[in-house]
Amino acid sequence: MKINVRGRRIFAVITVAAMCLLLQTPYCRGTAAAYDTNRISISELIDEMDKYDGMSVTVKGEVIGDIMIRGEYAWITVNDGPYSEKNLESGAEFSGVSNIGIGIWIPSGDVYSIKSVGGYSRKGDTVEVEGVFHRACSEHGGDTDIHANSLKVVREGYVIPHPFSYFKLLIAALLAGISGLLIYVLVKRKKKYTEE
Amino acid sequence: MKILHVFKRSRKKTDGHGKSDGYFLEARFGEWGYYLLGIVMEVSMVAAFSLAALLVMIIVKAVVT
Amino acid sequence: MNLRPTLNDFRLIGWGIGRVVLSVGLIMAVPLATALICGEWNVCTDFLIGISACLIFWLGTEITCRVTLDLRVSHGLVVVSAGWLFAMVFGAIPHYLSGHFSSFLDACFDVMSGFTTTGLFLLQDLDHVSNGLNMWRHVLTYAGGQGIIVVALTFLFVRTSGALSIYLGEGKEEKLLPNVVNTARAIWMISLTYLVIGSVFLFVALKTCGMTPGRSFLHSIWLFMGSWSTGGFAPQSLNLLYYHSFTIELITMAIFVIGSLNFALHYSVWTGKHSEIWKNIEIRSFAVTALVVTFFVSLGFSKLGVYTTINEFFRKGFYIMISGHTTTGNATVYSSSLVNEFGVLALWAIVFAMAIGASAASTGGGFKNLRVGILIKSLWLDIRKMASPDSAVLSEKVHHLNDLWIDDPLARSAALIILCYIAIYFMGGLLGVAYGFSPSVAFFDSVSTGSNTGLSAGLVSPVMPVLLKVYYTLSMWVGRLEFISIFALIGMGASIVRGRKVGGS
Repeated sequence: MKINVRGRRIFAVITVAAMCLLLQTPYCRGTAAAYDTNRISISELIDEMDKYDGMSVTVKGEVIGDIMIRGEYAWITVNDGPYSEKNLESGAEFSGVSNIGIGIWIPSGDVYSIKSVGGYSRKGDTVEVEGVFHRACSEHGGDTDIHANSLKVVREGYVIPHPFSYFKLLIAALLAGISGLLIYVLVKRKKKYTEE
Repeated sequence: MKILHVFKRSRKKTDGHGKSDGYFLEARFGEWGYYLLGIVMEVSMVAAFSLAALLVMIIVKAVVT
Repeated sequence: MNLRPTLNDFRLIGWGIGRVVLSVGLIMAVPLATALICGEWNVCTDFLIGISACLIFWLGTEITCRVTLDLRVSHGLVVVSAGWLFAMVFGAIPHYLSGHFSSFLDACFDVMSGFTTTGLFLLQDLDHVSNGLNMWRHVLTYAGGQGIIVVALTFLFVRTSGALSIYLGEGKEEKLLPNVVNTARAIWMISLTYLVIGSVFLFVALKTCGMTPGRSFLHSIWLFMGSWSTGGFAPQSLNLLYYHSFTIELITMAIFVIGSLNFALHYSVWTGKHSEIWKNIEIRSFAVTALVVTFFVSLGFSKLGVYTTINEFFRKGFYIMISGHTTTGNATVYSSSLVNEFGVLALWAIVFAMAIGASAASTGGGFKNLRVGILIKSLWLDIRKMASPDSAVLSEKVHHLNDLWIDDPLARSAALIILCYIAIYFMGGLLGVAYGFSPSVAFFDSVSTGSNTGLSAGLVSPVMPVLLKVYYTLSMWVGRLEFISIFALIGMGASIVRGRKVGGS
């Protein structure tokens, strides 16, 4: 009988704990910062594609990844949202959202004004793109994209400084030292065992 | 240097079916051609399957719309 | 009667776990080399810390857990289930140090998602992530696809006769070769051969897409690893939508469909049994269920009218469906599109496909085609029995490498595991609904985690409730290991508390 009482107690504790966790603050969707009124944020575009389908829109954000030239036109990817303003590599605070970006189909001649694309080592140029939004672009196999009419670089990108962290190196060295010591202990023990 | 010898186990005598552990892991040049044939079979399976799916899509789309 | 585990049992398990953690440390050498080549010095130190931590743990177990016993099956199962948890914690060290995770739990979620080839992530600002960390994300999903245990077996368990028990614990019931260690090596040989071939094709495709040679090279390897292991990771936050290329979609699709096949089937086809690819029950079961789901997805698309051409049907509907069915999770649409642009019918059809999942003893998850095939056949047998006179003797068989006759124990074990999967899908879905998500989204993401797929309808995000993060992490782990080794771990926990002491009365 003892076990039964204990089991029930454990069950009760687990149930109460689960209820407490469930009653936590309800989920709130990370909202991208609302920019000024005549522009549309990409997350708003994505969430309400049917509303903006086929409309002329203007988005502003950081050029990211690659510039993929395909003949007369090229693909670029533009991210807005908190990390396009300041990214984690530059020491931004966590905003709780992933990157929010969209593919832009743009005449190849226009991409040469872009000097910097975002990545680990660089902050990409911030551009303002005006173009037609497609919920499911029939020209591109149903991709969600913007066919750009104009692109303007509004802020140039830069190299993200990554100052070397000597503290981390110190910890790595310390841990390596400990493992060296343990290897020594292990080898000594093995010798002892084989001698026995 | 065990890591380097992962695929270089000594060639064992084959069993009655012409296969043994060493046989697969230690393929000679000619045997690689044999494996590539297997890969071609697998890719053709995917191709055949995709075509079948395409056919289903075309029929459903034609009937519904 | 349960026996309480002795100190020697713990030592033996500790010794095994040490080996598993060491293999995680070994794999970290790949991203370390990448970071070195790319000159990302801070990232190098992250991996050095990770490798040292794994080494220290392994050395600790080698020193303290020295026993002369050999692993029994029960030990092996616990080594696998507990070893995966330890692998997750140690694998999360470089993740957390990168500064892209708001908590260690998030880092653990991502590593579990990688090792179980799920592909969901809580990493923030992926588009500014270093090459080293990206390599780590993809290498861990590639290694996880073959199985961490398979990695450990390849290098670290050479002279252990108990190796079979830990191999079986990782959701792989079939051996390719008589010897387990050689089986592990054969699995690697198949995967590495495809790595070379697949990456070459992807490299050429990416290069013609307009990417620079260096970026094409890295992306080709990452995309291959993400697809082959049916993981679904990609180096950019837009996943496959980033590339806007039909060719790349086709190549990745071929890779993940082939990657979702049973390794024993690969072995069989490679060694000359070519007809196996058409006769195998898993291929047939997969073809039937996938075509049925394709039918419903097309029906949904046709009714909704967002995607209008066959090209769009194929690149969005079929690609996402097959990505879900093989439990890959590569996506060519936004998460929100799965709800808004796909419509309820297509969305639930994909949930069904994800629930079924890929082949047994493969890189994929879900119920597995083999079990579904066995279940359908045994159902068919029962129907036939009902329609026949009592005296008739009826039988059904399935062809999986050899002919298997359907009997009750076979059908029962398949049905039990499927029931377990349904239970974890359902509990996760209910939990999501309890937190106020719509049932479609909650069940979609719950099935996606439980079946190790990685598509998301928008629930999984860094700000989701802690309980959901923990549940999903456990659900990925349980789903990947196919329950048995988890039950062994729970059983061991129970016998610590309630078991009888050895030698006591």
